[in-house]
Amino acid sequence: MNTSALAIMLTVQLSVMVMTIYLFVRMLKAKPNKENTEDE
Amino acid sequence: MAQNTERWGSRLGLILAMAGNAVGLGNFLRFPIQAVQNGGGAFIIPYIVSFVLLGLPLLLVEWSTGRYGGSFGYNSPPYIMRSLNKRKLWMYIGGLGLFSNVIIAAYYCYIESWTMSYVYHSIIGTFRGMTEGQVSAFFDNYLDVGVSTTGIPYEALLFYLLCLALNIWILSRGLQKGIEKVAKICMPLLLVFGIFLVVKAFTLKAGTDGAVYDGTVGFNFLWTPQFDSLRNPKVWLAAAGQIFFTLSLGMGCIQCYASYLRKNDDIALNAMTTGFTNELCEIIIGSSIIIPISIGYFGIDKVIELTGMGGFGLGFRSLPFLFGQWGSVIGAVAGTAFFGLLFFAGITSTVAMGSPVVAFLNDGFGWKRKKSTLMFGLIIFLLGLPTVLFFQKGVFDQYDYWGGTVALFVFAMFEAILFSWVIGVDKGWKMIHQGADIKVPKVFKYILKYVTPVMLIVIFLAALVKPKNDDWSLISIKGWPVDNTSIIGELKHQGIGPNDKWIANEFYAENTGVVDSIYSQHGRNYICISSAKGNKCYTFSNDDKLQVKVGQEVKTGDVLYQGRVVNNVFYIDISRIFLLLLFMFICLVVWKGSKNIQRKETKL
Repeated sequence: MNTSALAIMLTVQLSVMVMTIYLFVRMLKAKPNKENTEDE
Repeated sequence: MAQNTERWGSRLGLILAMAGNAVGLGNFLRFPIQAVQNGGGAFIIPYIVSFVLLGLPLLLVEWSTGRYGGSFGYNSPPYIMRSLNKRKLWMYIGGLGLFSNVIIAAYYCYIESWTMSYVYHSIIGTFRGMTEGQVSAFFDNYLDVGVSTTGIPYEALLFYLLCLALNIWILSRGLQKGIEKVAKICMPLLLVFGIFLVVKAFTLKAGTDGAVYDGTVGFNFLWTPQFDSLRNPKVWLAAAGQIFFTLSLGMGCIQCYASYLRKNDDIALNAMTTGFTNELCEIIIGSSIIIPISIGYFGIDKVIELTGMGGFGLGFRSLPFLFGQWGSVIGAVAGTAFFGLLFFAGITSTVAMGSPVVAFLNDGFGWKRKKSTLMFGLIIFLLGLPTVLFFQKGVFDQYDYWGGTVALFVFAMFEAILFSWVIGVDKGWKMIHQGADIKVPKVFKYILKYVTPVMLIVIFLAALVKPKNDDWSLISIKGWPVDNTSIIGELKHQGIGPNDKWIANEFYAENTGVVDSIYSQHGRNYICISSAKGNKCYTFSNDDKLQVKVGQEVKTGDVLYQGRVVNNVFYIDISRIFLLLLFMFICLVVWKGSKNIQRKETKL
């Protein structure tokens, strides 16, 4: 693959992957909202 | 106030259902084609800009307004909009959310049934040993409902009904046992199938399994930037359009799903996560399957020609043949994986399209889920039937254009205006951050207030009067010729060709070319014209009198045959009238439902 194509592909794909994993981890680590728990 | 008390079972289930709603056939068939046609690697720049300025803000708007409406007990777009502002206009704008969902679900369910059928044919080995032309002809014959190539009578209709029944069954099981469970099964499987195909594309080697080029040639072609294209407004519009469709914005599905959240549940982090999950499926998996594999076998020039037919052309006409080159076992596995991936992407989207309709019947008329799901199924069946029976007459394209494109843009445009300018972005910002697990960067507040609504208005205006051949240098104060695909061009039937009467006594050649062949197959007569735009075949009956012979040169407007001809423009106009009447009927039902709600509210 040529360098510019490879650079763009890797930058974009890795950024999206890292961001998705980061958001998923944050989401799974977040505690249930206390006010909602009280509502129930 | 409505009595619906359904809730999501888990946060992961909600995210997967929302991601399933967004991840659809467009991620795998539309995105790579758009990238190829709009500057390869450079397309990604306007695409990411659109994701940030249009996609993420609209996701936040739809999630927050959905949860807000849900806190009043409403789960359907018209009454969610009504809970945001009492002016009746907004409620009817919300009616567009029902309109686009029933229309899209009607034809989307049909495409979904193709993928189901192709999984079946991949498993039983129908495509084994077929030539490229035979695989392509298989697709044409499949769409011709009366023709059966496999011995199954009315095969397309049968798979359509099967697919519809499956959708109804999932929807009738409810939020947790139906939608959430299906998302938890389909989304991981979709990823597994996707990863398998991406690995196959990356490891494709010239000289093995009949491949002419390495898979990397396709990746090179797709990701090599052509920075000149960044100056072309067409590329920016295409990128904004792709972001819009890929995230399923402007349909009311996100609002509906978010309305089942509790009032202090997070939406900021959830919205971002689903947005990025969709991008993961689109940018990483979507871009790494059909283009690299096709280029590996056909080369760049032929793939550019094939992409002119859109993603369906490549996906359904070519890929089964290419998978066949990998041997009978791997070919069957790859075919099952690819069409299975499309099926999972499709079904998680169609159940999302059904949800606002089911919720509407509960909100406005107090119908229970099973009854409203059956009604949704009946509506989809009745609306979908014309697309199945008259697919080749242009009915499908009309549904897609007005219900699946224009209505979405109009709904999203008004939704953004309501959120940012009518309710006010300050109140909206508080709605987004209520119970939020992350703080959205403040710059988004200004993007929401100024950039997103203006961008949507500009895109809508551009679609309305797009200049001929997307040549924006034609724009002048004295006026300019509009493109056939612009909204005005569509309304004026621009580009319909010489067969512009509903009913005629002659059928004219639509392009200049040569009569390639005249033959009968499966009880139908075909006349095929080969032209610079490709090979196109037309059917004619035994009573029609042919006016041309094989090998004869024909010009646009020359008579091909004489007889009683019902032209496609008839079906197109009837579809348009029908769609307009349908929207008016939806507005009427929305109004009736609002009266029921008012009565209940007064009693309380």
